[in-house]
Amino acid sequence: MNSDQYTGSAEAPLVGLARKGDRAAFAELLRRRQAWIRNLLLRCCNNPALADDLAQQVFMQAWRTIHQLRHSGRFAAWLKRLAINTWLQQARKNDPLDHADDVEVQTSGSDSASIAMDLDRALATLKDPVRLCIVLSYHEGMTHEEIAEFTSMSLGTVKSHIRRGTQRLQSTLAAYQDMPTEEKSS
Amino acid sequence: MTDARDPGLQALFDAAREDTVNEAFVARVMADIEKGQRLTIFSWVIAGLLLVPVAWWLSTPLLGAVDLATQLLPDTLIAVEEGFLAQLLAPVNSIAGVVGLTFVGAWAAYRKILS
Repeated sequence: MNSDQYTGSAEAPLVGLARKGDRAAFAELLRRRQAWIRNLLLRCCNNPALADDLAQQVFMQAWRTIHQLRHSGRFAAWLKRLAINTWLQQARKNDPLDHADDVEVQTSGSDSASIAMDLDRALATLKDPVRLCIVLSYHEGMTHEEIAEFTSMSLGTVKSHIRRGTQRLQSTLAAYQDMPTEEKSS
Repeated sequence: MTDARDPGLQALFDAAREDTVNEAFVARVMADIEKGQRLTIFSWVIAGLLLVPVAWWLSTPLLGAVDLATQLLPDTLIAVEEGFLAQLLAPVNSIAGVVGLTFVGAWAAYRKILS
């Protein structure tokens, strides 16, 4: 298997080849999309090992069912749906977690890894549905209507979750509020 | 409330994003995919090998059942004297006709329940 031959290829033809069972094409899709899916799941579960396990499940399922994908151009949306469904199944399996009530995150540093760590700790204080709505909104840039459709929650519930989650994160991550924007993203 | 997001939080989410390719992860997933494919092929081969003795073992009773069915299916259910009525009823006046009608009815009911 050598996915290098597809390095410069557009995504849609790769999806078409993967649907026909081309493993090299799927490997290239995996290379391109793994960081996104792993990030998304990490924001959801705050556990790097679990996030990688879930991401692996997502890509395995994608390989098994990619022949059912009718429109190659909708690969990313389809993959995101698989990831969210995988996370929802995982969340249903777990007992309700005890979320910390009054956690205040001190800034660990201004590099990407430290910010990610602090953000994940803050996200972990949110209840699963609230966290999912926040992640889909801020990480995925989805609108409230899209989140409602995606998660089968009512629009009112999604808006309420995002409002409460945002307030909570603002308070938990208050130490970052004073930091200049350039420093946050440096 | 609109879809507007808190700019400070948005900046944190953007900064926390990691875009590097994790080659170990890619290799692990592809190895699992290959393992899964090998397992599938192996399962089919085993199933095929098991099917041969089972088919051989069942061939005699299966052929007997087919033979019996071939004899029974055309049997008429109600004796009707030769003529126009007998020809008209011929498609349904047999065990095969009843079996066929039952199957069509069950299929229609199944479709109606599902729709």
